[in-house]
Amino acid sequence: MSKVRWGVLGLAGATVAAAGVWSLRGDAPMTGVPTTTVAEVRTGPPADLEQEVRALRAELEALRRTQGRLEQHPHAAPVLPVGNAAGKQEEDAEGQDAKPTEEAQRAAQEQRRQERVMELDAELEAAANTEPRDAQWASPTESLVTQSFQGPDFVGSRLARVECRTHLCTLEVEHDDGEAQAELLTSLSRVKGLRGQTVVRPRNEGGRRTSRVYLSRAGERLPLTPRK
Amino acid sequence: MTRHLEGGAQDKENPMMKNTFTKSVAALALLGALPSVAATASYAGALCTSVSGFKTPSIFRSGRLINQTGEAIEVVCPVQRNVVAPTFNENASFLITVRDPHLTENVCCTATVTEPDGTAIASDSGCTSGADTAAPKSISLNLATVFASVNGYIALRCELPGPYAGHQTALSSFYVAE
Repeated sequence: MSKVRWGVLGLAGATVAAAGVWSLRGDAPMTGVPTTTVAEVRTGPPADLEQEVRALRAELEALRRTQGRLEQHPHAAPVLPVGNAAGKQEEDAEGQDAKPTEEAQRAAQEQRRQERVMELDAELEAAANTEPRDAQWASPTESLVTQSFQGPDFVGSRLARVECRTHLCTLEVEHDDGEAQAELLTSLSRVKGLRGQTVVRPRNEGGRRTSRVYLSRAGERLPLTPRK
Repeated sequence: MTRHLEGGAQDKENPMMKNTFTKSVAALALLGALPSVAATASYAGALCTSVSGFKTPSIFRSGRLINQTGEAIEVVCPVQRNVVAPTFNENASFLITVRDPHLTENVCCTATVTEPDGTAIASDSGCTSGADTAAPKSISLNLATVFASVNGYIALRCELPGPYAGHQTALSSFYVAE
């Protein structure tokens, strides 16, 4: 019996020793393979990184949208982010993977567009707040804008605020419906004396439709710096 | 020993790195070129449609649109987007060629960027000055931020005054560069 015990103990000891030796070999630097793996990560093509960044941005955008929906409708079912959807699609055939990628790219593009629009809006807002006031142009232009909103072209829209400086005017407009909001810019461009560049930022917050309008002096450009 | 191994691995990867570098340069060049891939197009005035009720302009065989109605009219002209990524295009220029013989009124045009649902979000307007019965005049417009969403569109709208001393206003052509 004791021989059997010693036999079992011996076998266990031999197993532990073999495992130890094996693990020590595992710790030793490998020739080629790990180094190559690290090198692959370091020298990965930028196009792949770009794609990964876009996918991550798309996922972030999807999460933001989900958060927005949850804030608006707390009981609504959450929408799966793009990453999860892509994860599920991996189980499907390879041919079906193209669709989520396209959607992710589109979402990433939309995210980039919105970020750029925010940059330009900040530029316009900065100019509107810091420009000095040229009273000789600003006062009559404000009067012209105010009078125009009493005309038939602006039915369904109300001018809440107008402020002109030297090169541009800022208008805040409230709308009764989407039709009036959609036609605001066309109506403004028909007013003689308001011939310049115009940018409209329409908003619809809980059914309350408003528009913020930046209008340049006739023949002048809005203070926007385009990317080359 | 480790250094030697890493050096060996790098030596082995040199051809691959060259290949990767070439691909990266090509990919970056393509990415950089995407937003700037732009195109220009010229259109005949005949493309425009009157939005002034029953007042219909005449279209000559040359493709010019002439206001023979006896009153002022407005026309709207569609423009095809000619860029790869319209959502990132920051600039669109227009050059409109018209005939303006009217001594007191001018031909005025407005270029507009519109969201797919029809909400106009950016525009630029300009008019001719003076009058000329023979030589054409041009109106130059620039849309600084062509930032409509996917499927947003561009359109041109022109106001053509009525005739003056027997001479009629005309919209000959318009050129768009994105």
